[in-house]
Amino acid sequence: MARPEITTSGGPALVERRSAARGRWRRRAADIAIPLLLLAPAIVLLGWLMIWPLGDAIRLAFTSWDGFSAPQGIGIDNFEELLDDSRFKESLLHNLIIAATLPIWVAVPYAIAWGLQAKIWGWRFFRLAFFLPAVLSPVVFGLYYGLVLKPDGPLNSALRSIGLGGLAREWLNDPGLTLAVVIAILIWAIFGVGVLIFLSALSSLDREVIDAAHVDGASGWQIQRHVVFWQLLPVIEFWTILIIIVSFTSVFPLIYTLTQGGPGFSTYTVDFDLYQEAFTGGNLGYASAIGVVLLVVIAIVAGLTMALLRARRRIR
Amino acid sequence: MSGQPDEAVARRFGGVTKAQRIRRRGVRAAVWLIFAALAASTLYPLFFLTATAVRTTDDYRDSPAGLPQDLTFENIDLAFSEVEVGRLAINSLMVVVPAVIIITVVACLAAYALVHFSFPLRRTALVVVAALMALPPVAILIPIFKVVLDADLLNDRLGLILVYTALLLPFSIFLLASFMRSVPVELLNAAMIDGAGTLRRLWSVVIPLVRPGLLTLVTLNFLFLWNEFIFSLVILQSEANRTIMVGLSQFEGHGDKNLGIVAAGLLLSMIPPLLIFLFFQRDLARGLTSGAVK
Repeated sequence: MARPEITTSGGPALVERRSAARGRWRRRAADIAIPLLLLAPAIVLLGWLMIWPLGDAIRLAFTSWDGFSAPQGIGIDNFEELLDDSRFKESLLHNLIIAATLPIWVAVPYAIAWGLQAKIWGWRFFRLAFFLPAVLSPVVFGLYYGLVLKPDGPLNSALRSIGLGGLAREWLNDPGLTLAVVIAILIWAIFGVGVLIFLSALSSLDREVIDAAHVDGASGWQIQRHVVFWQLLPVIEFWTILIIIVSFTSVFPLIYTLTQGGPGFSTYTVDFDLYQEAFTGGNLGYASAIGVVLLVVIAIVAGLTMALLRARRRIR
Repeated sequence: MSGQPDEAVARRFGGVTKAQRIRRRGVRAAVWLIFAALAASTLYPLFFLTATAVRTTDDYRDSPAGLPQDLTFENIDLAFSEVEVGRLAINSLMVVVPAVIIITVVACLAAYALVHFSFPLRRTALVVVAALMALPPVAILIPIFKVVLDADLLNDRLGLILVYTALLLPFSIFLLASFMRSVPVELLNAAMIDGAGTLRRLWSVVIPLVRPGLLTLVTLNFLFLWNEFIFSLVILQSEANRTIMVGLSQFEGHGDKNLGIVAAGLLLSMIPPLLIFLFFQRDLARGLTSGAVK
């Protein structure tokens, strides 16, 4: 991508007055100085508010800090405490349960994209409708579902009025059920984005290979498995990574507005626990340790998932 | 399949047998019903929140899922006077608008440098941007809070504006860079020969060509920041400059009496996202899919 001809030191008319060597040196300096100046604001902002905090997160993880006095170094105490912290372990378990439902997060938008791709009647309307939750704040749908899922709210009352009263539940106050409700809401909120991504990937599929497979007598399922899947793999990988990050770190607003981690601690997630430790418990050093562990867990889960997807490629 | 020669023949010549046609219709109808149910669930919030906002509490209690019978504008009035949705919205705009502007300018300069200049460590810079895109902000919530605290910017809108700018920069740079790559080098060279300086070339050549990309970026960033919650909650803690999502989440709406007010507040907070949704749908889609499909 070398494009030395773009940069310039003075207009072309000035060049002849300089010695060749000096001109080259000045041009080289400008080559570096100009892009550096253009990048400077971004470097300052990212360095100050992302890269420095990333390093500081690790330092703070080894301290005890209440947010007022200076952080006190306490070695690995925070991490030892994490190992015995049943609430943290439960939160992590809940996140892993959410991550275990990942195939649904991928398969649902994938299947829906196929349906829309087949130009089913009203597909433009469906595409629009499915995307609506994605533009709403988690605060909005958290509070919305808080209303809808009340014991005497519209869902239960609708179930009763169509004679399915037996299905009415205390959706948000049932330790065995509420986490599942939260997962369903998360999928409901984001599947429209996946549909859009898969739709645009499907529209750029190589039709010739698929037609060739048809001619060779492959069944629809065989074509899906052996032709389409491999073409879409990069997109599936992208979506999977995105979902893993989202499912570990973007659940907080929903939990905060919908369940507050309850009933009991049955819907505590790691990001909610992190917030609670820091801003209601005043244990900011401990919360930073949770953040570091969270990063490590995400890296492991994402790495394992990628290995799994790639392994299928190798077997083939 | 191999046991049914007519089916194989039919497929090979592009036709279908009668049995296949019927089965296909059945599948289509089933799929359509599932889609309709899903669409009903995604559109229901609009109906439910509107209905609940414009009816009395007693009417709501009678049939929470049904149509409103007893209409009132009281809830919407109370949303403005009790929850102060108007002030909350202005608070949000005072953070979101400056942040979106700063992000756009900074990301433009950075993407321009990364795409149209060559310098040492250019590749490394691109890798860093991509890596930061994958860094979940919640994991570094505490140290970011500390940076803001140490800079004496807690409860200061500027603090949140700067944090928002930094958090969205990697994605914004990435998105703009992918648009700027399609600007022909010849145009830039021609502009340079005509005597256009570095910023002049950005402003007069690059920006006009990536205008659709800029529009996509601005709408996405606005939407994201309007809806953002956790950093706003942590950095703007004082009641006076709370943003709209934090304000709504703090309103004690669990009593039935306040149900209509909550619904009205939520509905009002949805107006900017809905407008963007209706008018910039294509731009949003382009922004969201550009990272995945290339």
